[in-house]
Amino acid sequence: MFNPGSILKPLTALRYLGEKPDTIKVPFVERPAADRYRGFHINDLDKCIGCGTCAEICDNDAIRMVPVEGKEAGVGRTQYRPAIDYGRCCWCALCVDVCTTGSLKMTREYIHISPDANSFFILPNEKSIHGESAPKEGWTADKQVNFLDLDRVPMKELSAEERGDSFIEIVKGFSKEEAIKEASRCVSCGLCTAVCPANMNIPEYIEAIWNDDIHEAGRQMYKTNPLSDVCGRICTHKCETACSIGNRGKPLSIRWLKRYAMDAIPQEQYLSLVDQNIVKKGGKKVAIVGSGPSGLSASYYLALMGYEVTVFEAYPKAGGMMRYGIPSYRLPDAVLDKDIGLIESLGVTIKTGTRVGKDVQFEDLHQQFDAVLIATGFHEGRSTKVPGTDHPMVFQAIDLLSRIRRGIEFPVEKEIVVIGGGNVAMDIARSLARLQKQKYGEVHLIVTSLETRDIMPADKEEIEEAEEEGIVFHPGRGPEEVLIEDSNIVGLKTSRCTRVFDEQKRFNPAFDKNDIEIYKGNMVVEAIGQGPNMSYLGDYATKLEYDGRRIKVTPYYQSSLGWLFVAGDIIKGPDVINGVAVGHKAAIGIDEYLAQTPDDHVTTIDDCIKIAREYEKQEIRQLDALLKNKDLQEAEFGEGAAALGLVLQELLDQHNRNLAQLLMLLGNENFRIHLRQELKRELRARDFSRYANLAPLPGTPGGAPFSEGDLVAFLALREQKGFELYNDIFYLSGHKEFEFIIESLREAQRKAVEKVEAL
Amino acid sequence: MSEKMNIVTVNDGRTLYPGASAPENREYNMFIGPNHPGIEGNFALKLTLEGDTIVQARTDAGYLHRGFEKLMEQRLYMQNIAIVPRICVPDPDPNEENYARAIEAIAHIEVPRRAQFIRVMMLELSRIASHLFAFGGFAGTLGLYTMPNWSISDRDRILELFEALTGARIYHIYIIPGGVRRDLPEGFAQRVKDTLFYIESKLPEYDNLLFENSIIRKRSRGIGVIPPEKAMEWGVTGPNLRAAGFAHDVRIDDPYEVYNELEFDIPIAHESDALARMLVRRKEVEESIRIIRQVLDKMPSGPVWNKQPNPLKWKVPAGDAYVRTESSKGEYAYYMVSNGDVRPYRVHVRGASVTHGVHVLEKLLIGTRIEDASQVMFSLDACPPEVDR
Repeated sequence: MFNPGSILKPLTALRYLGEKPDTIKVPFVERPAADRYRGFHINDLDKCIGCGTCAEICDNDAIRMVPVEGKEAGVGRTQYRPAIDYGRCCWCALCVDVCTTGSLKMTREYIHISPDANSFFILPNEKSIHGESAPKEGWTADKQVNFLDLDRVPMKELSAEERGDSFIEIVKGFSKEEAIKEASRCVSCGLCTAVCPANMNIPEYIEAIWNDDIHEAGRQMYKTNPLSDVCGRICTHKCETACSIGNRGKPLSIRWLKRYAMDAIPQEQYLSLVDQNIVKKGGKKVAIVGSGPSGLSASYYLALMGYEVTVFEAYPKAGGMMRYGIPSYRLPDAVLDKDIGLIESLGVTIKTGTRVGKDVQFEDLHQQFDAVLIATGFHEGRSTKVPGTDHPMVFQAIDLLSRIRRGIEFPVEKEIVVIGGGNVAMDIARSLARLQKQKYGEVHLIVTSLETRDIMPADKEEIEEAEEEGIVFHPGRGPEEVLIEDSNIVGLKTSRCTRVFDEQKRFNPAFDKNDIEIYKGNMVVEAIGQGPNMSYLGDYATKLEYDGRRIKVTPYYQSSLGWLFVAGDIIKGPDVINGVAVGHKAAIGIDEYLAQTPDDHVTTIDDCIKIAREYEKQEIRQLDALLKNKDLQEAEFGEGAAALGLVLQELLDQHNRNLAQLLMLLGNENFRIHLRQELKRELRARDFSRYANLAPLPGTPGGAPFSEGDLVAFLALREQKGFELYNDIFYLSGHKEFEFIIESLREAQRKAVEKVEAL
Repeated sequence: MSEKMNIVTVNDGRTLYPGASAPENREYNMFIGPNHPGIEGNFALKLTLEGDTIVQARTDAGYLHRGFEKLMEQRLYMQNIAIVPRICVPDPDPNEENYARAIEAIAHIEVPRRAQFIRVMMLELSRIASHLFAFGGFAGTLGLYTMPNWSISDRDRILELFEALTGARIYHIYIIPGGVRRDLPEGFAQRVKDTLFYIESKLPEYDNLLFENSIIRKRSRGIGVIPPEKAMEWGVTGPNLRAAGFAHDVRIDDPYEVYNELEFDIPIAHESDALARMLVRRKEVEESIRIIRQVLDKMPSGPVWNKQPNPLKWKVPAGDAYVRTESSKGEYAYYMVSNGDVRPYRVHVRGASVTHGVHVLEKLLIGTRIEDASQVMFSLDACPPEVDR
């Protein structure tokens, strides 16, 4: 195979003596890096949404999300941007491959040499690490090999033929495998939580669904949304617009995932989903007018907080607009009943068929209850008021929807025109189309709206599905007149709408009167919006303060009357999830209002934190005074006093840190909302005021004269008290997030006591 | 003079030179490395010698332990692809290959054909690069420094190919569960062909300089002989085993990817000494070139990755798998256990270097003369970072 070898053979290498060497190039020639070299990071800061997925996948914790000035948090974006520590980075480029926007890339730079250690910690922008404005791009996201799952798991639906003549639910829901697959697309960035009006724990429940732990998913949902079943069907899913996966692909089907989880939990288990401590009833009574989303949500949280809640509902069944405004092909009654069943099982009384102002006077509510929440919503349809709308065959969409759901008959004509481009218009049009199909076997239904197709406020899927069901759209037309012949409606005259909003973005439509079209129809339905009817308030209406046309309220929805709270569409709409959020916040407001009464044992978690803050402030003040004490300074030259001074300083620092932590907690509204209902409001709730007034330390103004022995004993006693204080707060809240903070605080306190004792 | 002189030990029982304390003991200790040109990486040999002959050898892999196996248990499946190539720096791709194949075996993932061909190409390029490194190291121990200059510079041409394909020269992080991370860039196949042609043209020069150099042959013939009858018992694999006359090769015995569709020979030798082992490696370079040429000709078009779930939410079903690859160092295997979680429950790395670099070397060095120790060591071609991973 090989020659035995010769001593001369290696000498042949001598002929390479004159060759140009391969490695050393003098003068230095720059060697261009490969097209996909994984060099240093660059990031398009405007394109980047700060979702933090890069930091999540990073193998070495090299990426930290830092707030960037000038970048505002908004729908689907945060003020954070990735900063990279090249002391940790291993240039694996996983961050680039999972970037949800494709903004993060790597350059073709080989080296960075600097004596300045800080220059290795950069916030990548479109400039390179060396300040070049347009560095050569190296490794970038690839279309073929894409780590993210950009495609949705398709949702099974009834076909247009199957659903066209019935009110059976259209969407079939995910199977377990489909749900787990869909849930696995989530990168847990939490942009959805930020945009959800109720701040639902969306990544948490998606993770639970992915782990096939349906019960945990339900538990996460019920923390902030007692109408999860309903929201799983008809939520306006703002979360999905914010979803980071939506930047490069289709956002997660968050709503359908919620629906899957809630459908999978049997109703008997619903009560176990409520993981908050259900408080014993404390004798306070709250009346809620209206059993819509916000009324039910408020009643749920108030019941958990230990109030006796009575809900008054004018219609024969609870649910408000969810039952009487939304067609059953979108929200079947059984689903709504599941959610309401849980709320009733918590001890909430729902008086149906009782209209406030008629069956019971508002005045009486004020007299009999400690607080009243009105959440009556928008049930009065608005009219276009064009000539002919006073004809008996001109209907309001909201009335017809309610009639369909209550089973009240009304004439369905062969040809119908619906005015309106919102979701209510879609609901009534599709409902009427079903009735037409049932009655005549075919659909003749026209929808006109001021808005052109691109700005129609209805959901895209709704419009598409309506078209599949045979509904004809004529968008961009304004109604002129309902044409009547022989006292029968024959059609609707429309003109072309040239603009809907003026330059100030106010609603101010303009029409081209020369462009006239007439749509044939024997029946006209107006679906251009709804308004409130608050005639039941009677004299109270004049006593209230107003902010424009709305009742003036505090951030916790308390009106100027104090005992009267306002929730739902009449204060902040327009959907179920907003109702839930407003109801929850109003319940907190009511709790705060009622807890102020002196003979009450109820203490809010805010109070606990406030007392802890007072305690820390007092400690800081007194330790500070002690450190400045003359006696001590003199004694500092004595043996042991210097060490004592150090311990005191350390203690002071610790208390300062605690205070900063507590202030952060107090400033975090989300934390407070999530935490507040967790407080046990039983009689054994301890009297926190005893922590608030500590005896002064020896050597401080008002304290005993300074002596080392006394001080040490006193400090030990004080730290013991601090320990008890935090122990109490922890005991009362029992919240995971809180437990973590308290645990670290407690540990710090304990160490300080030990140190002082050791002296 | 000697009759009058006595050695007086002033510090009873304590001496800085234990070998000198007992005049009847003719053995002494000597360390080679970790800072020594005749040593691989930060390896060290602790030798006990009698005269110039080694009577006992202990190896020391140095402060290299980075706890890769444990780290892998704490990271997501996809995160680990950035860790595995670091286990063996000169020949990283078998790690990536094993890691990916272990997951594919547990989760029953199919790999697209094109990706399989690309993987084989990567593995063979890595083998050539690693062997070129070994040639340089081996020649270096004998003072022939021209060889490392040549072979490492030629290896750089392969690293450039890696850079163009994977974005990095050493840590490719390229073979991922389900396929490979990127398709070939434009014109890449031609670049590979050109590089192979160049390396092939250099092989006769290598022969002149190293393999047919009578000094080198004399110095390395008959040293560090692995007795063929012991080779199996000691767990010798790879080129070291083939130099002992066994035609064992995982690529043939337990074919993976598309090796069973390719034609190549298994070079073997019978001397089982240091020279034989290097000659086997030298022949293997030719075979690898032959394999890569076939791969480039046969490579089908198509996707290079079978889509896997979002790396942050990827659970590999419960199960275990033992997968092996023929690396340049020998049989390289991973044993992976999954308990159905997002992280592997256990990943065990069975590298060839623990066997060759520690156990076999310690046996071979006994009876070897001190000037041959480095050659014996390099002829086994162990990889220190993989010994203490």
